[in-house]
Amino acid sequence: MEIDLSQFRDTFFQEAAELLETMERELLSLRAGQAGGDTLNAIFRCAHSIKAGARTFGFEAMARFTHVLESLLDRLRNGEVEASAGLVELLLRSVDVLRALIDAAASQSAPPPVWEDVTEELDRALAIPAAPPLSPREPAPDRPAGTEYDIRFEPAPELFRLGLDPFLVLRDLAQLGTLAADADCSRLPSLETLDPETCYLRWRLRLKTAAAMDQIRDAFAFVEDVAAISIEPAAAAVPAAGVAAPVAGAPTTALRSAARESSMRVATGKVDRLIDLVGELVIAQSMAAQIMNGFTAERLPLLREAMAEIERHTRELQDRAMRIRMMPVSSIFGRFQRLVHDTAQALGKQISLEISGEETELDKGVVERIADPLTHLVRNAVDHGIETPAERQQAGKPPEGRLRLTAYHQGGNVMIEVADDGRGLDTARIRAKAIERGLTAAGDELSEEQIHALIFRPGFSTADKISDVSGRGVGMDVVKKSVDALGGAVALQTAPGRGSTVRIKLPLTLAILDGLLLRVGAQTYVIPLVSIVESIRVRREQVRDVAGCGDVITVRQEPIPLVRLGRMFQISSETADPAAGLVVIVEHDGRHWALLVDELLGQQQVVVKSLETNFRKVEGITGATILGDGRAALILDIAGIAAMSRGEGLSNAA
Amino acid sequence: MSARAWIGIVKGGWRRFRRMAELQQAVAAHLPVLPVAGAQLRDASRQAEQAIAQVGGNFERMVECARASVAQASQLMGAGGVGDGPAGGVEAMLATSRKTLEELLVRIVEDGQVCTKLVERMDSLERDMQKIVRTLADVDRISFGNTILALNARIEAVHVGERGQGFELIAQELWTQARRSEEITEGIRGTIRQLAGDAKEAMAEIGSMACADRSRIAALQQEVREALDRFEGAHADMQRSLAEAGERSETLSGEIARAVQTMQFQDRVSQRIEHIVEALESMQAAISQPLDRAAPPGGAAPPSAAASLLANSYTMDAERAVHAAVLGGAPAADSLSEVEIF
Amino acid sequence: MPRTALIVDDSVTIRQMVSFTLKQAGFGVVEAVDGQDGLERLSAQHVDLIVTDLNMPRMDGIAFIRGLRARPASRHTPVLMLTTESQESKRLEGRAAGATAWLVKPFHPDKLLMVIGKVLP
Repeated sequence: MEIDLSQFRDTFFQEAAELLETMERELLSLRAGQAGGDTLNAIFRCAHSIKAGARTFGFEAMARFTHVLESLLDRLRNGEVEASAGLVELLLRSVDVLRALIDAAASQSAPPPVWEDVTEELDRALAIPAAPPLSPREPAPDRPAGTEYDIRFEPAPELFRLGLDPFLVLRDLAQLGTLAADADCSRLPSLETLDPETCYLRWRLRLKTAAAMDQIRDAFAFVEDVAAISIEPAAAAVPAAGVAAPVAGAPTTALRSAARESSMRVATGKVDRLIDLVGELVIAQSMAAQIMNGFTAERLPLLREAMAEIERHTRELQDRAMRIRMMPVSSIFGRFQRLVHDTAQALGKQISLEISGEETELDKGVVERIADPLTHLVRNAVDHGIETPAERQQAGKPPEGRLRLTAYHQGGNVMIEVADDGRGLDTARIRAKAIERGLTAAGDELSEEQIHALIFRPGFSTADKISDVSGRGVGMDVVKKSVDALGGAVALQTAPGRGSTVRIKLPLTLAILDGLLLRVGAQTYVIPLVSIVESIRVRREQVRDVAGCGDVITVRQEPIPLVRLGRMFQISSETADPAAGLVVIVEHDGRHWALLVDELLGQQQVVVKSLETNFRKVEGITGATILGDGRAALILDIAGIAAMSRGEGLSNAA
Repeated sequence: MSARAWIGIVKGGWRRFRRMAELQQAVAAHLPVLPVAGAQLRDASRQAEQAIAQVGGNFERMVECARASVAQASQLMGAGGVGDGPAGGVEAMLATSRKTLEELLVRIVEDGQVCTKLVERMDSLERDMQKIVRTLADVDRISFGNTILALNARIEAVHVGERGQGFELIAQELWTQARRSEEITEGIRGTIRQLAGDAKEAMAEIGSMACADRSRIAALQQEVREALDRFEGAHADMQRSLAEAGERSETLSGEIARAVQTMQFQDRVSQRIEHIVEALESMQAAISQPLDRAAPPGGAAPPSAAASLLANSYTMDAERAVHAAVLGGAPAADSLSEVEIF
Repeated sequence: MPRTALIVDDSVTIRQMVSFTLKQAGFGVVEAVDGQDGLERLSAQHVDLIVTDLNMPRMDGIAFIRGLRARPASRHTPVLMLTTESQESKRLEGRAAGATAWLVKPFHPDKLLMVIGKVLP
């Protein structure tokens, strides 16, 4: 029943990933001295579960590794071994190794060799003599028996002329056990005098094997008479030089293969409720159908009621379905503890990470795509934002920097903030830099917000020396691009010497949008509510024609460029005169635009359908939707429109 | 020395000479046998080599046939290689059929569950409606109460006379309200009746469409389970046949390897015979040299009795052909009746 | 890529058996009846392995091995000698001429493949 097994395998991998996250969390709290009474037990149980699964599916390396790990954890929770800092570090490394083993098993590739080294370390940790046990303990994990041999292999120079290849000998030896080979190249002459048909190399080998001497000799079968060979049992094992190099600090994100996250765990309660709703919907629909049979005018109120019922159920269904895709941000916030700690340590800084609002839920697609930009921002804050303890003390701040990650719902959006109490950014310097980079002209009047927004422009971030800006480093434009692509917005708030906060606004879901419907000519468009500032009727006096830039509308002393959607999309619009039509003011990148439309049709939630996958990318449009009457409406991309209007020279900035 | 002594010496010499000549003659008579013997040995060796070579030539073909038939049996029965991908064979068909059956089973169970849920929904809907009916009863009571109030108010108004105009109005209002609320509740009751009736019809329709009788579901499940059991049995049989085929294949390989080793002995036989023939030839060379020197000039070799004796022992055409090639002379006449197949 | 072997032996049967075994192991096979024939074949094509008998007419195994080792194309090709048990001295001679390995006749096909496994990657 091959098919069934593979389904369970996937489930095992998912469960294992979650168990590992739990283990890591608990280990980190252990390290921070916040271990609860059940912490050690919880960690043990995680390893135990993974071991059971590994054995069931026959993942050799994983099973052996978790077995040793579990033994150590068992002694830990029984108090026989002390949870020293070094031990906790070792256990954290084991978690990384286990992740790598799981990935290897999932992708059916060979387990990374590092697992054996870490196994040895765990063995050593286990060998620490314990207080006399009160009851018989599990015996030490079994290892393959083997003797070590020191072997010297010195082939005669004419070896190659007999058609022999020393590599094949080494290969045969390696198949008997674990072989460490050290080639002595001292006889190798320079390239000019080298004779390619002469063998200059000699080898010193160490072989750990359970095989008999005969078998070892057999590997040298045809070279015995043309080589000096000695095989001796090894001298007492030399202790391994130092501790095995720490498992490369591979970022935990890299160890998680993207392919495995395409399935998701959902609370069964959510699914049950969904099934119920479907049932109720079926019923409501059939009742409506019944009413339609033999319909008379008197039954109209009934019909209305039934339809209302259907609509209620559908909306709730939609809502529930969306919620199913929601996952709490803790799934990405979780990894930051480790990241911040490790990076801070590496840079010699002290940083504490506060997380709040981790239970805030976001659409799964959004969560996946915001993970990288967030990581970027956190790294930036640690790298450039927060100063070293010495610098901080000089500035009169406590030596430990504070980094705060917050998430909360606001309006129809989710807000995520990354705040630090570090250096902050100097607005004047940003402005100067921007002028230098040609992003703005010297005479431009920009609000503080707009100046901060300049940081996110491509071209700004290519600062040659990070220290020039003394604050955020490279890559902010990438962050902004990612957030924009999600239909969100990012803004920076900063005060020099006090710190910076990056605020990200994200829609609750990618697929459904709150929009304002409007009409231009015969076409219906949708503007995402998130981008709209207000809609106004414009008075003639507010409109000015600025030479070379087109019409500009002044609203509360602010000049806002006018965009005629009709002209931009080449449709005949009813309204040529702004004073006669309606103007919707939208905002992007800290700047405003005024869109001239014929009529506002109302607010509505629309389902976004991608234009790109069905047609092609169109500038100024992010997608399309089907309205209730079956017509299609295009969803405007404010960023695109801003760019298009700038290109047409309608903006009043360079 | 005396004459007698001289004659004695000469006679002795003559006797020795005569003996030598006799010896020479005897040896000469047998000498021709040597080359024949050598040739016969060589020819026999050659024939043996040819025969083995023929077997060897067919070897590959034989092995291929044997292997192919075993493989074919496996193919027919088995599921082909490891891993996914259809690979024909009964086993694969079994696996597919089994999977279909299992899915069917799951589907049946699911359908049962959906129907159960629908039925439960319906029940709860009915309960809700009952609740509304009860609430309506309360509303009724209230409105009835209002009606009484209104009547009382009217009566008061009459008692109070013209100053009771206000009461009159209030009474009127209460009365109207009571009437309206009666209408509404009546309307709601009507709706509920309608809904209940509609719901029941819908339920009946759904019931007749999708949901099978619960007991039928159980029967279906049982049938499917039995079918799965039968497959299990058939599958086990298949596995056994496959295992047997595998064993036969193993045995075959072993036999082939042994045959390869055994066949090589022919080479050793050839070499040993060759060594012997060479010995014969050098013996012949060694003996014939002195004989040739001592032979009386002009004497043709007498027909060798030994050679004729040898020739009479022949039973095969090939033997006679070799003999003739070495010594000359026609082969014997028996050749026609013998059929020899190599 | 399939590998090729040259089998040099004056005995038909030996050639057949070696050829059969090697073909089953995926080799392509070229045959020669003695040393001279063998050298001619080597001029015509490249082989990855050479299996040769010692006692052959016209040119025996030792001379053949010497000859092939003198040519650049077959300088380092593994050469397997087929010997009978009584030819210890021949083995040393063969080694001196440049033979890589040896095998006693008659051989079990598995043994032949094992020896080849030792000399060919």
